[in-house]
Amino acid sequence: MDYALEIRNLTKKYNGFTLDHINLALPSGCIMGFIGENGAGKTTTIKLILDLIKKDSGEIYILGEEISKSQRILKEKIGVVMDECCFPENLDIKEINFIMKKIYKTWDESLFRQYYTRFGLKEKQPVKEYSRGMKMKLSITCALSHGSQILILDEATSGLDPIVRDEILDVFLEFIQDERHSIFISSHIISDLEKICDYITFLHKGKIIFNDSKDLLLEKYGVLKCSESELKTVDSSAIIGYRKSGFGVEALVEREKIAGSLLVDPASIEDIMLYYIREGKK
Amino acid sequence: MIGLILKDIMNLKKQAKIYILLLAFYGFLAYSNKEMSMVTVMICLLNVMLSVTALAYDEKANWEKYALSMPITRKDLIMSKYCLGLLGLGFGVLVSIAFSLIIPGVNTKVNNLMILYASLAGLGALSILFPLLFKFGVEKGRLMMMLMFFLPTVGIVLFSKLNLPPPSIETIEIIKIGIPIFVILLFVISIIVSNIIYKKKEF
Repeated sequence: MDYALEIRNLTKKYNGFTLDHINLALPSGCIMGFIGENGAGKTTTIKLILDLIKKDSGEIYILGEEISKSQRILKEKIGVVMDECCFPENLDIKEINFIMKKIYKTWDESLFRQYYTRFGLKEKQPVKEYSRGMKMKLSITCALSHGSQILILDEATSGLDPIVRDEILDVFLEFIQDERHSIFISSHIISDLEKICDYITFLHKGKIIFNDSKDLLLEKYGVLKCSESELKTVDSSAIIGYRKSGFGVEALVEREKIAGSLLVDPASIEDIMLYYIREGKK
Repeated sequence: MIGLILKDIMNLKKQAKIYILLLAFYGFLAYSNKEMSMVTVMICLLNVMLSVTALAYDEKANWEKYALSMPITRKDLIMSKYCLGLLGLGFGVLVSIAFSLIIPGVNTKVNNLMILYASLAGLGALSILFPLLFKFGVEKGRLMMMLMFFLPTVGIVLFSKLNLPPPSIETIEIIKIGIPIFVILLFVISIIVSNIIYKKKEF
């Protein structure tokens, strides 16, 4: 299988935080959601992927190549959206187009115009007058306008209203129609990722908890609602985590290990993440 | 790299308006005093400040980490800033020469020497400043810039208090040739040091 992004045993140590032997693989033509709490190491991982910080050990391959070895040519094919818009504030769209034309050999001016017109960005407005939504749209427009084969997005939808987010997610889904294209997206807004992702990777305190196809995860896990005494009858290896309330217990369980007449509701990706890291971990 | 320099020039366009106004003001001063030296020094200082401003804008927007996700190397980022500094100083030289031609009563021979040494001073200042700015960022770098202008002044004042005999003509000749060589060497070393600093920098 061809992988758009492959990470093997990636490790980076800081004082008080270690990104610990990260392994993940994003098949070409797919979208991978990268989830985890604040400070889990998502941005650190993305910075390592882009060679903005130096890894302690491990290997990173983007489109089959190591980024630190084939920088220029490879980076033409990577579209990046950071968690902020990084253009200096006095520039406007026309100037950004002019500059990017000189930076990317593959810069597609007409595609750029098409996207910024679609997003309703004004040509002569400097970046500093943009709202957060407009800034993110500008970053996404740039990431899509130079023959990118993989998009790497760090919190590209956070801080945006649902309408803008939906608009942006549609653009991502259009991008992925070409089977050579892939997306690696980190986000706090798990419902967004649930809408578009094929794979979900969950990072917690610098370690990967799971890295699976979304459908498989949704199939595998469920939320069991029962009384405390009923929970005790359940095979303990089936319980990932649980939460007690006035009405009984809710537990994230592996569906196939639950026998009998107990009621298991479908779990969302958000449920899975929350039960893994929150209270009552078995 | 051309893209990076263009980005700085376009982003500094607001500053450019103030820059031109200041130039006009200094031009007027030079015209009324029939004296160019202060104007030449001010133009150089302005150019050094412009390079620092360009870096400050980059830092504010976190441009560098974004730029490094593009087909741009760390070396390109460094070199674009040095080129911008050189372009600014070159432009300053042209403006100073233009002023000296327009303003009557200016001794062009003396003035050309003045322009040369002011530009060398500017180049020297950039050579020391850039590695500091790349290492410590613009905020701390600004403080160091103040120190950099302050310490030589103190040095010169102290030196003049020592009542040393004036240097011989031969010594002055050596200094005249020595300074340009020293500054060019400093510039080259500065580029090397900046590259080493940037290579290790984490964004």
